[in-house]
Amino acid sequence: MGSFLADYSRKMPYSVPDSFFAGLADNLQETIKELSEPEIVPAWGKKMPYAVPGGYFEALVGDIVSSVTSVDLSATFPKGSPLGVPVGYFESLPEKMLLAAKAGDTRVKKIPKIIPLGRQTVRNPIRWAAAAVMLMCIGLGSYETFYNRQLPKHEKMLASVSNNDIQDYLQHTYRLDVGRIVGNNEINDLQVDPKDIVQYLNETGWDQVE
Amino acid sequence: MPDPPDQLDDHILVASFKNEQSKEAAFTKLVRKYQERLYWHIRRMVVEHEDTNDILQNVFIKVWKNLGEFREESNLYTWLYRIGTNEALTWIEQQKRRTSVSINENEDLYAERLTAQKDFDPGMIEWKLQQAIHTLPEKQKLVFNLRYYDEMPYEDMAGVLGTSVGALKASYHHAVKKVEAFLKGI
Repeated sequence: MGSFLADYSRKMPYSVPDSFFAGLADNLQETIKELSEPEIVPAWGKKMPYAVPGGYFEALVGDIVSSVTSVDLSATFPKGSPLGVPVGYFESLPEKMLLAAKAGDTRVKKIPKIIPLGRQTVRNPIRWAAAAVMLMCIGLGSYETFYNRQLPKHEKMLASVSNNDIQDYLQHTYRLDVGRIVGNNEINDLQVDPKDIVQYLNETGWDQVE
Repeated sequence: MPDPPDQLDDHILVASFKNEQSKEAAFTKLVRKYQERLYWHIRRMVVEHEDTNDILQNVFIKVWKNLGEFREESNLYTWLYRIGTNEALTWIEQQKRRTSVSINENEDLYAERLTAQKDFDPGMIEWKLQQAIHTLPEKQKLVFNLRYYDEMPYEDMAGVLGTSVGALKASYHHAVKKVEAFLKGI
């Protein structure tokens, strides 16, 4: 044989019970003899022990008949799709797909949707009104925060005090060279609590700046 | 085997079914006549009532669809049993594939199904016999059930199972021996 099977073993891989073949002939003879004799009907009884739900067989006929005779409602459903397809879509699709595939861009470019101006209609006026109110609140809050800032009480009071009084205070209390500080523009580096200045002026007297 | 009057009745049923005017009435009569026999034939195979009901419904739906083409080469009763047997065996195969059950596990599965049955009592001979039968291979189980419970002639059984009369006799003989051994072993 020239086939590739020629080199394969023909041994069966299945296992066989011990002495199977040795006893086979005798077993067969016995079976044939028994089969030739009248069949013995065992006396084990024929009652089925399984329970059946009450009324099952009475209802079964009706269930089966109604299931086989019921109208297949889906057969009355329309087969056509109501969805429209642009004219020439399928004709041009293979070419488009081929171009896209060649270009390595597997995404089919969408035709941009044109939204006409001047035809905007407010679909939900309540939503627009709510948005306007929100914007007003944010605007007012920002104004209050950044442009109409309430000065602390002490700074308000200090606004009416002359610079000479403040410089006297600084020189006296902190032994600062006010002239040098002002000249070097280091005034903002001073860590002076306005409350201290106010207390000093309460003790020494206020001169209102006009 | 159905009596000659019964066979005549079946012939009339088939003829009535093929007439559109009397189709539904004939089918209803057919279901009433065979429902219990087919039910028990299937239940002896699958044990559970719910599974039996599903299979039985499928059987009668197939009968409805195909009885119009039935050529009465075999008798109606044999034809119905053949459909019922095939549906039951198909269902059993599907369950085995679904659960990847081996041959040994299959016996345990039936044992579990039996013990889970309402009013199961291992002391009763009827339950013991069911346990014994479910140790048999599926085909041999069928042979035993059809011969022992339905007292079906071997010639009709050959039409149901597609096996020769001689092979069926031998199969039944061995099934009885196995059942007897099981019952004596308990």
